[in-house]
Amino acid sequence: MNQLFRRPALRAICLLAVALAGLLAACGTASETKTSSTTPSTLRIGMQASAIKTLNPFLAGYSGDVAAYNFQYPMLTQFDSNNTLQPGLAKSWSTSPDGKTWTFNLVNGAKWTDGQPITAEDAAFTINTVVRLKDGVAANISIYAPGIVKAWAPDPLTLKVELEAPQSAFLSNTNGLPVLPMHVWEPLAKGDGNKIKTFTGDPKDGPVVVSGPFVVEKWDPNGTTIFTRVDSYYGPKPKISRWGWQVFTNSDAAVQALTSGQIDIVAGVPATAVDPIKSSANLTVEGFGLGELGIFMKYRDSNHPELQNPQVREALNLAIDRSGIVSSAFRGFATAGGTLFPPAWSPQYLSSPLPVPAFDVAKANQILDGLGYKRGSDGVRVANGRKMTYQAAGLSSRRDTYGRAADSVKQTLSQIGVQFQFDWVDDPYTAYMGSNYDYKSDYEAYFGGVLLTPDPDASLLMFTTDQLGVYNLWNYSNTQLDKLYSEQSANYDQTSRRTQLDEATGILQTDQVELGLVWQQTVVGWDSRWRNVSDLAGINGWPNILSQDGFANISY
Amino acid sequence: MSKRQRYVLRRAGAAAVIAFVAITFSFVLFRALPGDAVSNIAQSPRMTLEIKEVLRRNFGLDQPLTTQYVLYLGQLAHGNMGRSFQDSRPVTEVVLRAAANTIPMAALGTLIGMVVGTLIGVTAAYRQGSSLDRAITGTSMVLYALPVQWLGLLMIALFAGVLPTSGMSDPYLIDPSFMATFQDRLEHMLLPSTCMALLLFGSFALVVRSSQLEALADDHVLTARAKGYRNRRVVWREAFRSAMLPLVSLSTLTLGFLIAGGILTETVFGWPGVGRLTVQAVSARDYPLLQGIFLVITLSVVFFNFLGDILHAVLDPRVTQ
Repeated sequence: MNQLFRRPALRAICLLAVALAGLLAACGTASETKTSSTTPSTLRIGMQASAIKTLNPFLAGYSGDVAAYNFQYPMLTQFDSNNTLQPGLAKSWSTSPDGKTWTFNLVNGAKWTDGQPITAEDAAFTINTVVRLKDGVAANISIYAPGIVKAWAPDPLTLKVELEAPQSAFLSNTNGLPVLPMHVWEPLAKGDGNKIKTFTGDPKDGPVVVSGPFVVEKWDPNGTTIFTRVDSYYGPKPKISRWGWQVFTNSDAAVQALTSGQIDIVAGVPATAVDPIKSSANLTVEGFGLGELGIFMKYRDSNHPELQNPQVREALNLAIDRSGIVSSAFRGFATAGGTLFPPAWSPQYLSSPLPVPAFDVAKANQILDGLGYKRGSDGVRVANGRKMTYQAAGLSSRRDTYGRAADSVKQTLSQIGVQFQFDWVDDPYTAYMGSNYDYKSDYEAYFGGVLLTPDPDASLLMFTTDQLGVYNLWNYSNTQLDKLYSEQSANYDQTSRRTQLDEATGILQTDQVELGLVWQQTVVGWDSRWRNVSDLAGINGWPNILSQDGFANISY
Repeated sequence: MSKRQRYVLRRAGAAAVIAFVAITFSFVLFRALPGDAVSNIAQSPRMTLEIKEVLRRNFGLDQPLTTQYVLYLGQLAHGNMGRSFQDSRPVTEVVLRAAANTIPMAALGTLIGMVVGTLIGVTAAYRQGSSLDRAITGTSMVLYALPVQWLGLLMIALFAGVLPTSGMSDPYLIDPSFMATFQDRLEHMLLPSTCMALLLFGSFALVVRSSQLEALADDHVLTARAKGYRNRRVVWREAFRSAMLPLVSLSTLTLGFLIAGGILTETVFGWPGVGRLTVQAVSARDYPLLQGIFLVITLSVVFFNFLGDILHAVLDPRVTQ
C-alpha cells in the first residue's frame, strides 16, 4: 500500500530534484567552459553604490548620475588624483583684476560625436541655461553654478563668465557643471525648459551627442551601465575600449564576484569584507580618498547647554580613541583625525595640518571634574541638572562599519562618565535636524560622513550662519567666522587667503566645534593584472568623478 | 440573481473598497516617514535654502497634503501614476519594468516551493508519526524560520564561482543568441528562485500536512477506505480535496504577493525587481514610485484573494449559503 502511494508523489519529487541538480550542474559546467565575451580592453567595475538612475545632467541627484555625465560631456577643468587642478576643455584660464570675470581659453579642434565643433557658445549656452532655469528644472544642477550672472563667447574659443562677486573657489565650485551641445539642447531649453526633463540620454532612444572620453553604450537604471570609448575625444584617449558600472547590493556578492573573476575591480565595499581579496595572490587591495567621518554634535541645544562649552567638547574629543577606530572598524583603511580640513590641504590652503586630538581619558576626566560635573550612581555625569547622555543618529546601511566605530566611541566615552547611544535609521540627517530642520529633535548628534571637495571653501561654508537648517550640522553660528568665510571666498591671493583660512579654522579649534573621528578611504580591490588603477582615485575616493582623464592609463 | 452571483458581487465590492483604503493608507503612511525626497539631495556642500524650496516646489511637496491627495486621485483616475522623483520617468514604466524582472524569478521559486511543499506535506501526513514525517516536519519548521538574508548569504558563499550571485544577467555579453540569453538569465535566476522556494516550501509543507491530517480523519475518508478504494484515490481524491481549502487560501495569498518579489531576496541577490525598487524608493522618499508600487501590489493581492474567494465558493458551496 505504501509503495503504491509513494510512487507517484515521491517519484515526482525525485524527478524534480534530479532535474534541478542537473540544471545546476549544467549551469556550473557551462559557466566554467563558457567563452568569456569580455576582452582585456573591457574593464568590469563592481560598485557598492547606487545605480545610474538618470543620464540627464539636469536630473542628476546621486553620485552615479554625476559620474555618468562627467565621463560623457566636456568639463572646463578637472581635479586629478593628487587633487591638483588640470585643464579640461579649457586649456587655460584667468580672472579680471576685480575678480568678477573669468576667461577660459578652450581647446582648439574639439568636436562632438556628431561632427559639430565644440565652441565657447556651447559652454556659454549651458551656463546661461542653468542660471536662467535655476528656479525650475535646473534647480538640482544649479548648485554647480553659484553666484554666476551670465556667460558669453566673444569668439569660438573664448568663454567669459561674469560673477556676482569674486569667488576664490570658483573652479572647484563649478566642477560638476558639464558643457552641453547647444544644437541639441537649445530646443529643449526654450521657455520654462520643462522639455529638458524629456531628455533620457538612453542610446536606445537614438545616438546621444557627447564629447567626453566615453559614451553610454547600454544603460540599465537598475543594474549595469556600459560605457564605450569615444575615439574623437579631445583629451588623452583611454586604453580601454569599454567599461561597466555594475551595481552590487551586498558586499559579499561584490567581493565574491571579484575573487571568482566575474569582475575586475570592486569599489566601495566595507573594509571588514576585504579579507578574501587580501588572501588572494592575484588581487590587490588599496584605500583611496578622504571621506570624513565624525560625530556632528549640536553646539546649541536647549536641553544640553554644556555642549556650548569648548571645555566639554574638548573632553569629548580627548576621550575618542581614533587609532583604535582606524584598526577595529576600518582595518587600517582610514587615518585618525576626521575633521573637515584634512592634512592634504596643507600647505596650499592651510599653513599646517590641524592637530589631531590625543586620546587622553585622564585629561578628559580632569576637565569634567574641574567643571563640577559629578558622576551619578550609574556612573554618568550630571551637567546643569541633566545626565550627560546623548543620542546620535547614524545611517542604518552603514551600520556594519560605522557600528564598530560607534561601539568604540560608546566605550571610551563611558570612561569619562558620558553616555552615548546610537540609533541606526535610514535618514539620520532629518532625524537629527528635525522635521522642520530647526534642530529640534531627540538627537544631540548626527553620526556620519561628509565627502570632501577639492577646495576648503565648501567645508568652511558648512559652519556659517547661512547654512543653518541646511548643511550646518552643528547649529553653530559665529559672526567672526561668517566674516572670514566671506573674505576668503572672494580672495584670489593664495597667501592672504591661507591666513584667513588659518584664522577661521583656529576659531573652530578654539570652540572645539568638530568631533572628527577618521578620514575613511574608499576600499578598492582589483585583479593585479590591471595597471594604473590608482589614477582614477581622487579626494572623494574611487572613482574620481571630478576627473575625466583618470581612465587614460588604465590597461591590462 | 443566484446566491453564488450575489456572493461574487459582494466580494468584488469588498475588493474595490479594500483597494481604495489601501491607496489612501499608503498615501498617508509614506508621508509619515521623516524626511522627504529633498532631504537626501539636500545633503550637499553647496545646497541653499532657496534651492531646497525650489526642489520642494518642483516635486509638489510645498502643497498642502489634501491638495496632494486630490491631485493624486485625479491622476490615478486617468491611469497616471505620476513620475518618479529620482529620475522623472513615468512610474508606470518603472514599476512595469521591475515587475517584468520579478515575475519570472518569483514565479519559478513560488511554483517550486508550492508544488514540492504540497507533495511533501501530503507525504508527511500519510506517514504521520514515522521518522520520515519527523524529518519533514523538522526541516519544514527550520526552513520556515530561517531568515531569508542569512539563507541568501549562505547560498552566495556556497555557490560563488559556480553560479552568478548578483544581478539578473551578464551585462558584458556581446550580441548573445536567444539560447545564450536564456541560459544566462536562468543561471542568474537559479539562486534567488531556489532561496524563495526553500522558504515557501516550509510553510506549504506544514499547512498541507496539518489540513491533510484533519481530512484523513474525516468520516467520508474512513468510508472510502472501508469501501476498499485504492490508497491513491483515498489520499488524493477523498482527503486532499477536503484539505485543499486552506491550501487555496495560502496559495492565493502567496501568488498575490508574488509581484512584490521578496525585498530581502532581491536585495541580497541584487535582483532588479519590485522588492529592490521598493527599498530604493523608501530611501529616496520617492512618494509617487512608492505609491505606484504599493498600488500594484495591493491590486495583485486583492485580485488573487478575490480569485481565492471564488475558488472557495466552487470547492465548497456551503460558503455561498
